[in-house]
Formats: sequence, structure tokens, C-alpha cells
Amino acid sequence: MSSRRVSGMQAWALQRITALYLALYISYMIGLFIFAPPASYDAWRFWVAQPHVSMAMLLFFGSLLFHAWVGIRNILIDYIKPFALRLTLLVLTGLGLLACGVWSLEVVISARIV
Amino acid sequence: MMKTKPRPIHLDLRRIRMPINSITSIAHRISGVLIFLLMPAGIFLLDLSLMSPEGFATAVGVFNSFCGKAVLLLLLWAFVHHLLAGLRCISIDVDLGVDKPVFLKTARIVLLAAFPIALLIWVVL
Repeated sequence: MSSRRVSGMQAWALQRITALYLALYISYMIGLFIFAPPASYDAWRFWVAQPHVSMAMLLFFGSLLFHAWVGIRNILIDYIKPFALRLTLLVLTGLGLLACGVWSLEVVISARIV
Repeated sequence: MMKTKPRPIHLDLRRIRMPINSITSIAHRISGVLIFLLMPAGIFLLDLSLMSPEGFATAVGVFNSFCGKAVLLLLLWAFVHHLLAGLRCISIDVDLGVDKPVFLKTARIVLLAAFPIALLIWVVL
């Protein structure tokens, strides 16, 4: 079996596992904002700073970034044929997602300190 | 030996025939790209809302502005469509709804249901 096939299988599984978490998390957050929206800055900050909420949020961003990577990669590979352009867009997407990951990590962590 | 007609192998969106399931599928991709592109704005607003009481007020203000509300509606449609199309995809993975009449019907349901569901969430939010 080629390693390419294994990697495709992993991407397929990763896409579905992260999808399930994203579906649950975003649905929960929409429900929260409908039925119990944060009343003030203090309430919001306190809520986010709770360990299980921060953890769930970090897991959300991690899932979102991996899910986006697999999806955007598929789209670029399907529609962008010139190799140099495809590679450039893939690298830019990867770097952009990585930057979003570091940024979201920083946002969630800094809500827990000070 | 039987000769088969050579089939066109391409993903040229201008030349591909688009039955209902492929519209649902391409909308799955478009909604995904939309969410991907809005991600930095989302992290920015989260950052702002957690930074200070003033930042929180600004973030709330963005959501209450006309522009913010319009983008939110678009984002909600993208999420609901992406979720429903994704669930349809997973159900097909486990061999549910693979036959053509069901396949086409679920594609139509996903495509048509996403708008009213998104609108409903947007109204009550």
C-alpha cells in the first residue's frame, strides 16, 4: 500500500471526526447565544476563563483549523492545475491557518490570565 | 472487444452539467470557503470581546450594525448548509441514502432547508 493512500484515508477520517465536534460545539454555542447570551463583559470573560470552557474552545479552534486544511486542500487540488500556483496557494493557506491557530491560542489563554 | 466512448475527465465548472446534487455539493464547498475566509474576523472579534469592557461593547456593536447582521446571516447560512450537507455526506458514507431517488431528494432538502433554518436562527439570535 502506498503512503499516499494512507494519508488520504487519514484526511478522510480526520475530516469526519472534526466535523462531528464542530457540529456539536457550534450548535451548542448558537443555543447558548439564543437562550443565555452573556450579559456583560465580566460575565463573558468569567465564562470563557473556566477551564472546561477554555479547553472546549481550544479544541474547537484546533478542529476548525484541521477541518479547514483538509477541505481547502481538496478544493485547491481539484481546481488549481498549474503546479506552482497550487503549491503557492497551499503554502499560503497552511501559513494562514497556522497563524489563526497561534492567534486563537493566545486569545483563549490570555482570557485566563490577569 | 467493446469500445467505450472516451469520457471527458475534467473539473471545469463552466462545462460541467449541474444536477441538483451537484449544486448542493458545490454550495458545500462555497460555504466552507466562506467560513474559512471569515475565520480571521471571528478570532478578531473574540479577541476584542475578551480584551476589555470597551472591546466587548465594540464587538456587540459590530453584531448589532447593519453590516454585521448581514454578514452574520450569510455566515449562519454557510454553517447550516455546510452542516446539513456534511451530515448527508456522512450518511452516504455509511450507505444510507445512496439510491438515486433518495440521493436527489436529500440533496434538494439540504439545499432548500438551509435558508429558512439560517433565517430562523438569525431572527431569534
